[in-house]
Amino acid sequence: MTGLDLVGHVPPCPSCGAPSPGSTLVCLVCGSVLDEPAHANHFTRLGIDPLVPFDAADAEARYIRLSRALHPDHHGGTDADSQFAAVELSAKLNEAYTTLLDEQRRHEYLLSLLDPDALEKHKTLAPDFLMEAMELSEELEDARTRGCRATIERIASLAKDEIDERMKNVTMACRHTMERIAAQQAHGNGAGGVPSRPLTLWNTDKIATLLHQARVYRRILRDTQR
Amino acid sequence: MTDPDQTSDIVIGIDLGTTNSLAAVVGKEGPRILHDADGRALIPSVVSFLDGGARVVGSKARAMSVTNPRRTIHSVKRLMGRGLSDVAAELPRLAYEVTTDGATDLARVSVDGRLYTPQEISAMVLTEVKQVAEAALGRTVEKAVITVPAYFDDAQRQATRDAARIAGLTALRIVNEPTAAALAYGLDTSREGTVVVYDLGGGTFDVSVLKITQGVYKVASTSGDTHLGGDDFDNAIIDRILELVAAKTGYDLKVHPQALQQIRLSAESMKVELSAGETSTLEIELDAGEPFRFTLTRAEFEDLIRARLDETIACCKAALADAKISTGDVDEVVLVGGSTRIPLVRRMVEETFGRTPHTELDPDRVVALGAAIQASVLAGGNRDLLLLDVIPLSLGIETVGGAFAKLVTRNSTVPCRAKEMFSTSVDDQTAIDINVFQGERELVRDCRKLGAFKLRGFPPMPAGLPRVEVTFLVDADGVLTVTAKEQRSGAEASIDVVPSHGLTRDEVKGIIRESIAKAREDFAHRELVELRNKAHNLVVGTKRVLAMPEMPFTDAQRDDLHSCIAELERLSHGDDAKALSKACDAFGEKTQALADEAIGAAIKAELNKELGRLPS
Repeated sequence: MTGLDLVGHVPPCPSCGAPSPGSTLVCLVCGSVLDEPAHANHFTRLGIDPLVPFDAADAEARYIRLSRALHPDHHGGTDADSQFAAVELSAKLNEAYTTLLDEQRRHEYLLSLLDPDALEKHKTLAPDFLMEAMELSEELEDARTRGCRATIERIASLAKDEIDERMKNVTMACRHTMERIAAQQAHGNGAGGVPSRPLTLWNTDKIATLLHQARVYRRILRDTQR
Repeated sequence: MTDPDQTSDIVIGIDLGTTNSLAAVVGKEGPRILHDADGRALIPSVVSFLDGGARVVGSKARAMSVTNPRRTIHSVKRLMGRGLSDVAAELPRLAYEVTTDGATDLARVSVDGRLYTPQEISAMVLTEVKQVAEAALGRTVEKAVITVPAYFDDAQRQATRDAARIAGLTALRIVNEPTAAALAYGLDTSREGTVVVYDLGGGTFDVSVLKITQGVYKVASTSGDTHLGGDDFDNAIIDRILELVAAKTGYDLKVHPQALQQIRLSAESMKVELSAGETSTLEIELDAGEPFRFTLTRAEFEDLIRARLDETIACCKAALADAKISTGDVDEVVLVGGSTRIPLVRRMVEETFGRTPHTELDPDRVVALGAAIQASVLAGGNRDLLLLDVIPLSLGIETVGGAFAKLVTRNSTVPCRAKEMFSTSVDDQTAIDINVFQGERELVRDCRKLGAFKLRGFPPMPAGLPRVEVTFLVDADGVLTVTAKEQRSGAEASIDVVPSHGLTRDEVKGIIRESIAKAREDFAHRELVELRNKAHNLVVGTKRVLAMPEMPFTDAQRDDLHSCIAELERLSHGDDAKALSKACDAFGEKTQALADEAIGAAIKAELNKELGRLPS
C-alpha cells in the first residue's frame, strides 16, 4: 500500500483531536508539533489539496501562518537540540512552499508522489517534437540577433500557450490517476485484496512526457526574456 | 513556549560596522540607541595597540591612527572570513600589515610580530560595544543579535559568530543589515507592501527586496558587494592625491604610513564636506616643507565614484529580477548606511525607482535599532514580528570535472535544507572527500570554497554500493551545517569540516583559552608591578631610617639591612613575582622587628632622659 489516495490528506491532530489541524508538521489549532505520518508530503505540510486548482494567495497565507507556528525565532527554546529541531521543521516548511509555488516543480513533485521513477524513466522526447523545438529556438536566436521584437514576442506567447496547454493536461491526468487509484484502493481494500499495480500507473509516462516538453518550452520562454 | 529564563535575559542589538559599531536595546518606550558616558553612540571599529601589550578601542584608537599608524587597525570587517589573496588589492592602502600564518590563506593582521585573526580584532571591538552597553544598562550583557551585510557568505557569517564567541557574547541571531533596517522603518510606520532597502555603508553594499504582510518581513531577494562602500570612495580620493603628489614632487607617499594615514583622514573629511558643499580643499606639508594644495569639486568627486555607484544600481536591478518584479511594483525605497548621505547616491536611487527614497531615520543608527527589535523578538518580548530571510548565494558541491552542482539556490528562504546521495568509486573505499562551494558560476574554480569535508566511518563495500545521504542545513543565520548518514549500514558517517577561510571550532576555543590566559598574564604583570612598587617603598624607607644618626643599630644589623636591600633591588629587576613577594614579606618582618627594637631603644633613651631630670 502506498497510500496514494492520501496525497493531500491531513489526518486529525493526534494531540488535541482537531479534525483539520491544517498541516502534518504542526497543529494550527493547539500548536503542537506533530510526528509526521508516513505519507506526509509537501501538500500535507501546507494543507493543500492537489486536486483543487492551486491558489497562490491561499498558499502564501497558509505558509505565513505555519511559519509563525514553527519558526526558530519564535520557538525552540534555548537549548541546542530544540533549536535544531525548530530549524529542521522550518526548513521542511520552506522546502514545501518553494516547491509548490513553482508550477513546473509542483507538478513534477506530484508526479513523483504517484510514480517516483516516472520523470527519470521517460526522459526521451519524440524526434519530431525536438525538431520543432529546435526550429523555434533557431528562429528566436535569429530574431534576437536582428533585434526583431515582434517575432520574439510572438515566440514568447506561443511558448506560453504550449506550456499552459501541457500544464492543463498534466493536472487533468494527475487528477484522473489519483481518482482511479482512490477508487481502486477503496475497492481493493473492501475486498481485502491486493490492488493490481500496473493499472494504477497507466498514464504516468504520458504525464512525464508532458512535463519534459513543458521544460523545453520554459527554456525557450526564458530565452525570449533574456 | 516562552522560557522565563529567556525573557528575563536582556538581548541587545549590535551593528558591527566597517567604520563604526553601536548597540541598541528595546525598552518600554521602544528601541533606543545605547550611549557611552560621554554621550557618544558610534564606537569607531578601530583597535590601536600600545607599548607594553596594552590596547585601546573606539574613539581613543581612532585618534591614534596618525601617530600610531602601523599598530592601529581599522576596517577589519573587510578582512573577515577572507583569504589574503581575496584582499590583496586593498593592502597597499592599509597602513598596518596583513599577512598569513603560512599554513592557511586566512588573512591575519600583524602587530609587533604577533598575528591576530580578523575575528580577534572584531572581538575587541565587540567587547568595547558590550562594555558600553553594560555601563548604559547597568547590568551584564551576554546575548546579542549581530548584523552582517546581507551579501556576506558563509565564511564571513561564521567569522562574525566566532568573533562574538571570543568576545564572550552569544550571538542569538545573525541578521542581515538591510532586513534589520526594514524592521526599524516598518515598526515606525507599520507599513505593508514591497520595500527595497538600499544599504551603502563604510565597506559594503547590499540591496534587499522585502514583502511585508501582517508583521511578516519576507525577503524576496538580495544582492550586493561585500567590498563596495565609503572606504572605496575615500580610496578614490586618496589615489587621486597620491597621483598628484607623485606627479608634482616625485614622492611616493604609500611608503610613509603616517602620511598615508593623514591623507586617509583628510580624504574622508573631504568626502563628507562634499555632501553639503560644492568644493573641498586639502592643504598638507610634504617632507621638504613644501606645501601641497588640492581642491576637489563635487562634480569631480562624483566622476570618481560614478562607476562604483553604477555597480550598485546594477545590483538593484538584479535583485528586482530575482524577486520577479519591476520598479513599478516597488511601494517604498529606504536608504541606509552613512554613504547614502552622498547626494549622487540619492539622485541615482531616485532616478532608478522613480520615487523619493525614505531617509527619515539616521542612516548610521537604523540598523542597530532593527537589530534591537529582532533581539526583543528572540527574547520572547514580541510575537507579532517575524523575519523570513534568504541565503544570498547558492551553495553546492564540486562534481566531476570541477563542475559546480548547486544544492541550495540563492534567495532560498532560510532555514532550508538539501539532501544529496553520495557513493564510492573504488571497492572497499571507506571515506569520501567532498568540497563545498558558494557562488553563482558554473565551475567551482569561479566560486568561493567554503571548506572540505571527509565522510568516513562506513563499512567497506563494493564500489557504488554505499549510499551516504548528506544533509546540508542552512540555519536562520544563513550558516551551513553538514550531517551525513550511510543508508545501508545506518552508520552515522562522521564529518571533519575544514573551513577554507575560517577558524575550526578548536581554533576558536584555542583563542578563547588564550585570551583567558592573556588575562591571567595581564593580571600577573600587574601583580609584579605592584610588588616592585612595594619593594621600592621598603628600600627607600629603610635607607632613610638607616641614615638617621639617632638610630641605635649595631654594625652587624646595618650590614644585614644593606645586603637585604641589595637583594630586594636585584629581585625588583627580575620577573620572579613569587621570590620578590617572599623577599618583601621577609624584609618587612625584619624591619618591623628592628623598628620595634629601635623604637623601644629610642623610648628607653627618652625615658632615661626624662628619668634623669626627675628629682631623686
